[in-house]
Amino acid sequence: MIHDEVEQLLGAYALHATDDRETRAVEAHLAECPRCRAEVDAHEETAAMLATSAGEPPPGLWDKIAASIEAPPGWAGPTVLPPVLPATGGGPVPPGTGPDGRNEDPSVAVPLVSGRRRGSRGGFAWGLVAAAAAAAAIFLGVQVSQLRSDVTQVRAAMARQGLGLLAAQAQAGPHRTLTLGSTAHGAVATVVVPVGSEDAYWVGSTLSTLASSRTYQLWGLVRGKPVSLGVMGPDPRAVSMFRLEPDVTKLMVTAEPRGGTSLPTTAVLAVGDVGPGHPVS
Amino acid sequence: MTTEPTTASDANLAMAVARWHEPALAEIYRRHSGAVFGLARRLLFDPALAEEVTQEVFVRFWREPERYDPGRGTLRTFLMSVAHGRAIDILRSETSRRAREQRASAVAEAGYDLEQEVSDFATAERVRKAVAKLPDGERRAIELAYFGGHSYREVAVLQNEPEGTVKSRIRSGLKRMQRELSTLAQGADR
Repeated sequence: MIHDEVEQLLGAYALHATDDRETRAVEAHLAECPRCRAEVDAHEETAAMLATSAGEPPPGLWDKIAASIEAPPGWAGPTVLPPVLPATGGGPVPPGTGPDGRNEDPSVAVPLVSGRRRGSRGGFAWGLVAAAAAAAAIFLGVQVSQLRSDVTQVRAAMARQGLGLLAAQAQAGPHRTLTLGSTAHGAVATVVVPVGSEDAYWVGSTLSTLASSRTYQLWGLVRGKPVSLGVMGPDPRAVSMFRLEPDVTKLMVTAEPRGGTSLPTTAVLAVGDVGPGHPVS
Repeated sequence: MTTEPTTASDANLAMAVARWHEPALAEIYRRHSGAVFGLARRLLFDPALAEEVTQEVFVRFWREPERYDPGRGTLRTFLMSVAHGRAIDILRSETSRRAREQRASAVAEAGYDLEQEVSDFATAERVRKAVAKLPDGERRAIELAYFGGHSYREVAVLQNEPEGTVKSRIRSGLKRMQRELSTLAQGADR
């Protein structure tokens, strides 16, 4: 198909109104014609703006989605726990969390301080967000194309080598090292926080391996209250990634029943200050 | 650096999804599932199928976030386009005869009306204005293709026009809307 023929199809293509043969021809052309690519991008942006009659997705749909998204290949053990999201407005709640924010599924540890996060997002706020997103389509033509290759790289690296590589990269770059310890045993665990990031890595510990019915669980102290940052499985030497929010002042680790708990139920094994330099922005 | 999913940009959330950060997907779902579900339901007239499409869109994004290229547009547009394509696939498949029939009767009752489709506060007025400026033939062709799920060939039959005319109408209509929307947006910005 010659350029002019393809060009005529660009509008219909963006609305999924071409047949299979035409679709393939357009896609082959788009791969090598930035001008036509840009035109289709603009058409898709315009089309998406037409479709702003938002519906309320059925309650429970998020739970189905959360249940069907699987851990990546080679992703052993450590779980990055969801932070508390406001549960108002019919929005998603972390899997295993009941309507009142309590843990219903004993295999899933949930964060502790329910409703800690600022701002609920009901229908009105949602509309503003959607409007802002749509407006961004007009105002912000400039996007960071770097990001996509970053996304691809991160996925590729994790698929290849899992968390260990990411943690190694973090340690190779500018980072802070946090130490968790106890008066009885001294320093027992190390956490690496890349500068400018809220990802943090538990990179190793001299704590002993637990029975398989138990797990190490990491806690952050937020305004004096423990918030679950994640369960790490029974092997304390495994690398875990977790999110270190700016309001976390201390890190603590306990040994809990497998799946974790919503509040520490055993003695704190080690504690460490998050210290200065956080938050990084 | 954003501090939490609820205030992170879509681009940062996409990055977090690449790291299998489930709360980021939850936030993306919170922001965009209503629009995605609304579009799927509008096309399929079947809440159960719309739910299926919505689930597919977000699960697929979880598995393949690299398919979204921030250089090409917003995350919302990407998700909407995926949802639209998937809904169209279902519409055109043999197994969706029931949905087609339901759709046909619902359409007969309600008809399409682009101007009624837009309900989104700040954007709504601009989109309505831009739609209103479209010549009837262009507006109708876009409605039939985008919300009706018809191919441009089907639209040509429905409009009793040559296929080439319909292709041009869809393309020129979209371009006209885009120009109009950016003019209106600049006006609103001042």
